[in-house]
Amino acid sequence: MDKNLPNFKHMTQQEGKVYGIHNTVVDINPYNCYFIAKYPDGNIIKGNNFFETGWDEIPHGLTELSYVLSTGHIIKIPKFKAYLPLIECSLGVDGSRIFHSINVRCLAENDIVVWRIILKQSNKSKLKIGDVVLGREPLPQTISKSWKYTS
Amino acid sequence: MALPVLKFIYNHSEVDTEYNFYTGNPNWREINPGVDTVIFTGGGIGDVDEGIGDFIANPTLASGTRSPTIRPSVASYVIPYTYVESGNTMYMVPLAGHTDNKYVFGIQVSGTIDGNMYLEAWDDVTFSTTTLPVISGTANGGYESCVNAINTLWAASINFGLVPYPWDGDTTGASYLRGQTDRIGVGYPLPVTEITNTVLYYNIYIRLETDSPTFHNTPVLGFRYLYT
Repeated sequence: MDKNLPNFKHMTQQEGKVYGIHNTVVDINPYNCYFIAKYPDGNIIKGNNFFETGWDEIPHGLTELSYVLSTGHIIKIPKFKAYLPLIECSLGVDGSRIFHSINVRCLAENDIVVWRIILKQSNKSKLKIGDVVLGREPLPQTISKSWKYTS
Repeated sequence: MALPVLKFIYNHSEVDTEYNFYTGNPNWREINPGVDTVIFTGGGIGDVDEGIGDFIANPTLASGTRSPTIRPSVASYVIPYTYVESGNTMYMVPLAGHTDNKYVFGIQVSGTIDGNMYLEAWDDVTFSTTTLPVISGTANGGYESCVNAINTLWAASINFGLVPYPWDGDTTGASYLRGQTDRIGVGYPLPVTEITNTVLYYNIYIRLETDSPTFHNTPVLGFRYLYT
């Protein structure tokens, strides 16, 4: 798996800078971001990073889901019936890569609530790393195996 | 799942056949990210207006240097040749451009993507602005991007199995690429709920208008997708 980030400059443990023609984007350090899932028996499962997230390996029955970003932000997701966190990423044909957001789809009674956790910031956008944008979507026709149900 | 592995490939032959996910195809080559560059060239001042296929009249092929395209004075003009430059070698992509071919450029997806995957064009590696002339377009082109791209299998699926010709960014399954708003989904068949261990195909060309400024642009083509 290619974990190279040729467009990231001045990478720190917290973040990396990407320089463009008109804009400088600060993106999270994807090696140091992970989820934390808590279970009723007190067990806690910590995810890996954004290259091998480990999400599909965790069992159902979690009681709490949160995300820890490399910048120190901790985003706790309220309890829903199930979760499907989807990382939104762009990969250039030149090998460059940007992580845009984590779109945590949360199964509610009548629809899907989307917690969109922002992973990049620049002077062209009002949104900062760690900001959360809430949205709603209709219930999907099929449920993928990557959904994890809460206890 | 984990971050899916994407391999960018192109058909280096004149045979319009697909790339097998498991066994590959000797007619196809891989784009080496960060090393190779996709070049749109030809139609320069020294060119005979030869059209695609007549390699001898292509000064890029004859001299080994990129032939700058002349700005058209009468009607819009599609840059005639597409190459992938790799080190000292420029590999031609003979089926690329304003053609009705299906299997031109491809993406091999190893792993799983949730929903569709999208081909986008941006100014640079920040994936945040779209101000380059080739993406901005001009008045004569309705301020649409000069970069036309099409999901060839999707377009063919609704046109008796054939990629519609001529096609442009307004054709179903195509777009004038500009950022996140004007892009193509490369997944197939529709509706795309998941993409797993498969090869997807597209074609791309650049059309210059008579009021185009003179430029040498290096936009970034990128794929946006979701994964767990």
